Amino acid sequence: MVTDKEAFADKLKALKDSYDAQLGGRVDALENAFSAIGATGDAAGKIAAAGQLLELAYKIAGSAGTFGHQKLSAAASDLEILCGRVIKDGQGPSPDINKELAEFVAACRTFSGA
Amino acid sequence: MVPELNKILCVEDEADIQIVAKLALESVGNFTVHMCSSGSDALVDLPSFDPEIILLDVMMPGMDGPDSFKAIRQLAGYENVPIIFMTAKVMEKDREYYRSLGAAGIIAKPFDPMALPDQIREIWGQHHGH
Repeated sequence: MVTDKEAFADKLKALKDSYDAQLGGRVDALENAFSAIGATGDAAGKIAAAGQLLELAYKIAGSAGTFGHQKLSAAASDLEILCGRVIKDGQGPSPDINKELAEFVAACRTFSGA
Repeated sequence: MVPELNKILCVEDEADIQIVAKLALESVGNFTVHMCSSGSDALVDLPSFDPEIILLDVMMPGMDGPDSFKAIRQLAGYENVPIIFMTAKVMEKDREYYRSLGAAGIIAKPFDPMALPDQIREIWGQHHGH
């Protein structure tokens, strides 16, 4: 006999599997948004791209841990905070900040397992 | 005496989180739950569902959480309904801002689906002075 708790765990597992199947695409989107920062020449364009990256990072930060990816959530949260600093600064990321952004994006790829 | 909590409106734009939150709140918490994908949808659905508490994501396209909060407060009958922000924003200044708006509580994302109903009941109890 399947208990309510087991049924809930089964449903949660199915949701996690579905989420995991989409993770690669989510990290692809992060990488694309990060690339867009570098590909844009002017500060306004870089800030807009950083805003896009921030939104994507926020979504991953807020969801990945719920599906068991705590390290990915933490890396995405770090990325989101750094994007916030870039946006507040308004100048576009310095080379050092850009390196940090790249490291956080790479960490998201690693922790996603995708 | 804390009144029993039954009806929760959850405003969340991300489909995966919508599904897991609804599952947890219904299956674990035994609540009646209505999901909305945006603040503007919530404003439309509020009168018919008439929730006792509202969970509100912070970062949503269009009307974000704080703007949705302010809009809900303008609706007659919803000036005091407790609203909980659910957010992955971890900076203390963000949390202070949500509290300054009058949020009944803040639940950090990512959340534990098993613990979510109890977190909401705790905030509900605090809202009613317990």
